[in-house]
Amino acid sequence: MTQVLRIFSPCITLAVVVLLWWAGKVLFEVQDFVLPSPWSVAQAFLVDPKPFMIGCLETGSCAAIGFLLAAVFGILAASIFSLSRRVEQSVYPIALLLQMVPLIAIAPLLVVWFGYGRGAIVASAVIVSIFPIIANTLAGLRAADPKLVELFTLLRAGRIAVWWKLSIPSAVPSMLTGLRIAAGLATIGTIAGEFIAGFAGNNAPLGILVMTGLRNFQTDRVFVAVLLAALVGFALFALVSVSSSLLLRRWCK
Amino acid sequence: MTHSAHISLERVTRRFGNVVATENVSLTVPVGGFTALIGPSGCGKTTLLRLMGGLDQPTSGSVHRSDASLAFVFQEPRLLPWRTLLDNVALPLELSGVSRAERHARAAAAIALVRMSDAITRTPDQLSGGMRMRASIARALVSRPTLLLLDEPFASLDEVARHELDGELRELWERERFTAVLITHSVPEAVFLAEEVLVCSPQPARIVARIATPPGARTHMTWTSSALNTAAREASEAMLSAITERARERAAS
Repeated sequence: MTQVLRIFSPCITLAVVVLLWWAGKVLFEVQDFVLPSPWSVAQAFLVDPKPFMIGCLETGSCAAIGFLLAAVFGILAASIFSLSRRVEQSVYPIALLLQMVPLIAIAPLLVVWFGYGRGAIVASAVIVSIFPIIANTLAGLRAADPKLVELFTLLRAGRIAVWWKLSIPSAVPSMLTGLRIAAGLATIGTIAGEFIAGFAGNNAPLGILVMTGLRNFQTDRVFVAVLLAALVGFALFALVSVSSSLLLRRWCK
Repeated sequence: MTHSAHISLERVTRRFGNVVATENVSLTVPVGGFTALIGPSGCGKTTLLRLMGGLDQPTSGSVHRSDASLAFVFQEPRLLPWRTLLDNVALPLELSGVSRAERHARAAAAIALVRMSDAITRTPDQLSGGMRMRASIARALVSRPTLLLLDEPFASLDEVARHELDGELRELWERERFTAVLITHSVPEAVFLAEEVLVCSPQPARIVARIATPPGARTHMTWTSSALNTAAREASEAMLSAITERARERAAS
């Protein structure tokens, strides 16, 4: 029963929001290019779904690749930091500073370095999603139970053994938290990258579909692209969440 | 009883800043003997145990150990939550580079000693508190130490589980005859388990009484035997008089 409610309640909320949207539009006679009706948004998609599906695939694959690269390099960086205090002290503050640079400000540079297209888009996804992975993994690597650390010391374990057999397994829960956050951010980074570096045309990603919709005053198409972008982000997040909770089951006491 | 000394402390003093944890303590633990250290909480018993195990160095005085093969059992089981019972118990062997097949065989033998063979594939969260403690004893025994140092190992267990484990530990010791040193604040437990009970004064710890307990096997019935009760009363009186004497000294100064 509670399970049914859990799925059912947000559906009701969604229905209410759509109804309010519709009612608002009709009541205040809002023009279509400002706020299309839910129906015309649905129609914009259903009339010709193909470019949107291609857009989803394009954006989704860039976000997934960006996420995976961020996961690999983020975990690697956190591991190196955790093994060497000196490397961490000299690199981590700079990394934090870099994180503060607005993505929109460096996105044009990415185009200079990687050219227009997927390279710069994936790079943008990596930049946005790598920091929570580094920060959470590092926190987890440092959070090994001091009593277990003492046990390993008593058993005369070397630094590498402590790291591999104690720190890494202890870091798994917070590493997975970082990955979940990153999964959501990767899509945001991808869309931002597409705004600057995406190609229009047959393989246009969602970010470009948003832009062309805006230029042609097809606000209903903008809505479709935005909603699909949210859906892609959610799908990636859900995929990572589900696989991480399956993995976590072994780790939780 | 002409055992040679396994551990001997001579006029051992340990200071932490201004705090004197132990003062002029001299004691010997015979090879194959079971010695209990009892005293009020915070009296410096754990400091003594850490000194015996080489985890800490005395400020003055000397500590001698006839051989280096020792293992600790702590108040908490300190198991790795992501490992099975078998791999937890095998950890000390794994860290000293014993091959997989051999360490699993030896871990299984140690697990059999604490009668947990049917739980070998379970993880710590699938074990009761008492079973986790038994697992931690198996892990201590797996490397066949000649000296077992136990720091209030059953303090967090309920009364029934505690009696059961005390019985098993005594039986294990009677069979294997390793040297054992037990820290506890329970007088009945000390008298039940050990051959000799050393009573510590409140901090700074000094040995104020040595009480030999009745020899021979223990069963759960001997918990209330009159011989053990006499020893227990003796130990309690020694501890109480040390406490009142220390209180009088404090009041006088």
